[in-house]
Amino acid sequence: MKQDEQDALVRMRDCWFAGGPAYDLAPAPWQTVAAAQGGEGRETVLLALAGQAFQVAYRPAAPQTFLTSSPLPDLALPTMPDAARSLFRAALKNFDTHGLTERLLGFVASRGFAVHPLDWMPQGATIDAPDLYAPWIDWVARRDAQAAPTDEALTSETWDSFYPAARRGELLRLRVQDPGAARDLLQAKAGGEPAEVRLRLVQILGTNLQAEDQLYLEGLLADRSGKIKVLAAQFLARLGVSMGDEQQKRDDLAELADFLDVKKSLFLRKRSFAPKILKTSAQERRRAALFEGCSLRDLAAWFEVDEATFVEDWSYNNLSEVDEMLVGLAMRTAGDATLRTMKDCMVAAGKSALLLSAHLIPRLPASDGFDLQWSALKILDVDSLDSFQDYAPAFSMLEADDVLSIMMAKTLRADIADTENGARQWRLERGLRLIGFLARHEAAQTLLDHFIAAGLPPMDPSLIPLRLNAALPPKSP
Amino acid sequence: MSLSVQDVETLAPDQASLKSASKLTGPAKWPLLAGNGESGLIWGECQGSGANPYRVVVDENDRGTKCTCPSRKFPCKHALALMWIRAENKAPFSDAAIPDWVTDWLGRRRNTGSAPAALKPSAGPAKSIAETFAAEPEKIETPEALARKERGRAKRAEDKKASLHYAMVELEQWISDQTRLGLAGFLEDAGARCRNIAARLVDFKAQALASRLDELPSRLMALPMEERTEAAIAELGKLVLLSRAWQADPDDAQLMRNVATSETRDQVLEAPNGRRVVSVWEVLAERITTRRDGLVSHATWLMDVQADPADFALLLDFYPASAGARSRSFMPGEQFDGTLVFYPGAEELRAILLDRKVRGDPAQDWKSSDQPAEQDVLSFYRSRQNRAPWSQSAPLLIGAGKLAKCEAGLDWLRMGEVALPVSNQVPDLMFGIDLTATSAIWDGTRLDLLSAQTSIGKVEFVR
Repeated sequence: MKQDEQDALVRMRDCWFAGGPAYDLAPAPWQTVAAAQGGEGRETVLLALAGQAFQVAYRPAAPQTFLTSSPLPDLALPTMPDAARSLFRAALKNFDTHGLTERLLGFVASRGFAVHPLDWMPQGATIDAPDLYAPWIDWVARRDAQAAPTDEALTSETWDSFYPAARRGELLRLRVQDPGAARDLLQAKAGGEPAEVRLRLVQILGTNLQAEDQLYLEGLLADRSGKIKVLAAQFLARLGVSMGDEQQKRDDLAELADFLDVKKSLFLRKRSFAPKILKTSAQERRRAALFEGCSLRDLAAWFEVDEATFVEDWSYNNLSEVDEMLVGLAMRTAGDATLRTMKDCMVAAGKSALLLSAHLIPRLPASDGFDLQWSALKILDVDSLDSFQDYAPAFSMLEADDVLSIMMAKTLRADIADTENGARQWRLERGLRLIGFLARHEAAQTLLDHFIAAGLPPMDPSLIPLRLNAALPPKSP
Repeated sequence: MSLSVQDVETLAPDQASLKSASKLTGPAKWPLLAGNGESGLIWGECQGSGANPYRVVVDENDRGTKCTCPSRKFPCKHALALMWIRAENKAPFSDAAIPDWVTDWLGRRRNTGSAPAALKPSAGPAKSIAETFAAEPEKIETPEALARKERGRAKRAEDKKASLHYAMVELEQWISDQTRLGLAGFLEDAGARCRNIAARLVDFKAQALASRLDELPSRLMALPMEERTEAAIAELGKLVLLSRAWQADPDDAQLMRNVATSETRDQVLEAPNGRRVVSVWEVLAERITTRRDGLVSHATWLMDVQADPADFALLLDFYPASAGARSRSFMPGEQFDGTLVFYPGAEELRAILLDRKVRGDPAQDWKSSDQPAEQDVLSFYRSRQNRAPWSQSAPLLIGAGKLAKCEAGLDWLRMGEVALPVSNQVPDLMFGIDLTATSAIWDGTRLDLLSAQTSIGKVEFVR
């Protein structure tokens, strides 16, 4: 369009906006076309011409600058096969509802695959995802950033080239390979990070915690963040370093000891520790607060034993809420060897102690975690196994016969037959959600066939985890 | 648990449903019939009177059914027909993996897990399959009666034409009033003014025009304030063009479709000038929207993946909103071998699906995906405007590009030096993905993205 036509078009638009005939403002050739019409017909013809000019000759002017977005980074694992994607989406709906997305993502990663970005993406800067997704977490957090992810090794010089999630993953790897180097790096750079990021970084010291970390941890007791101070104190307690006001500590331990019973078996010449049954809820709250504030080593020392002996001599299954306090105390302040001893004791004690032992899994080696889970699966039913849902130390480990031998598989078969039970579907979904990923790839199809033969409709939603397991190829050696 | 003809009789809500189902038991009505022996599910796609096929699934274990048709009867005639075909082995069911849309239905279905209950016959008079075959008395019409009917039809056509002529005069007068009184006032009061003229147009039997005017206020309000005046001029100008074109050729089927009502399916199939295209079609996207006149518009956009340059088709159905929510007829990205019959006219976008065969081959890439980004992406739109200047939008296939935001927060599709604004709600993820080709509808001001071929596979966009 010529400039004079464009100018005329703008004048006609303004005229019609205010109201009135625009014939005199139209370009001459348009007037000629419209003149063939009389009266108001001229205006409608001009309106038709102007409308087409606006829609065809113009298009919205693009802005000078755009906010650029860096490309979605590739992950270390390939995307899962298309054939499994619809099952993954179906599983995600169910797992997400129960807060178990991380478990589902962990299973997919254990098979050597990443999820398709259209099926799942980290929300915001969420950190509840396997490290595999660190590049995506960073991309979501800093989508508008110009910098591309770096391939360099993490050093104090390259610290700022890394996005937070990727940096944390690198630091964790370094801590496993060279704990001292990781600590030095933290000491040099963590102080400059915001409190929430700093806390996530300091948590890495929990891996391969060692006596050489003591000096740095003592320094962290003066950190600006209260959470970091508490974490540093817990790590120091795990190293056997006692902190705080000695008198206050002694007073608290004396008070806590009063809430516990020390029984001596004359026959076995053995001592055992057990919680007292308290009279008021105020006393119970006080006992819980005292468990929160002390270390296992100090508590054991009060009774003149070491921490491993204390957890060995603890009388489990008396009051499960106090057992839970002891598990919490051990997780925060006990050494790794003590935790393994505690696991053995709790497995031997069975009942609710066995259930509570699930909370030890995050600090146990994978093989111990799997043993613990296997011990629980053999004897516990679907109603009791909730605490194990959050922990999955080993996916794809069991053969079909192993799975079918566990207590839950037996009760699930009974549930399938018990069609009058209103809680049947809920129990089936919960049970199969837990065991669906434990079976090996080949075993998953056998289990599917087994449960269908037992009477479960082939497309029952509770079978989705097993179907996903069967659809995802096993990890390449 | 296999189905029997007695099951079909028992489940049918009434005799009329059985009668209707009997007409759908021919294999020709079912482009797809499949089942999964392990799960006891059968499913199919039935070509009904609409442009989009209905998807039907039956669970043989408990006789549960689901169909995408808007019928209020349950089970509907399509589900009954599918069971009937199965019960009498009227056509083979291919053994197939359960498709996503069936899996979705199973996921949503309330599953009590209980054993299939004994079939309960629905209330009302007894139904019988045998009765559906009873011959209806043949109506014999005399030559006089036929001639009378023909005269009546011709008179109705003349009356309609005269009525539509009044509609055009009234419409142009109304448009003229809007510019005379000022578009500022029109934009402030567009809802009431458009509703009034739409009601008058309905009185004059110009239903299509009335619907277009009914939708105009919401289209204008969706735009930023500074664009509304020009958009109002463009749309009112197009209405003038449509009015003049119809007055010049009131018998033109395409113009009649834009002004009053569309031809029936049979009329389109019998039209001598209807274009038929046999090819591989890909489902780009579905748009199911409720209009202000109480109708739900179900639009399915297809692209001929073998044509270069791209060729598009639109399957369009309308049904009352009171019939309930409608499910998808296709999965986006799905490709099939099919014959499409286009409605006659210069626009040649709206079509009817004549036959369809599910493709087993891997999906074909889009042919035009390697077109240079700098090429004038709107050339198809312009050429379509030259043929049918009253049309509001046109589909496009755009070459390699990337989505980006501007500082004002608006989303744009950038192709080299060219950038066009986008009206969709684009997920954040898409700003980090390279689009190798994008299908979209351009309405002169915004792109409505349909789907894209990307570095992470095919992606469907929603509105």
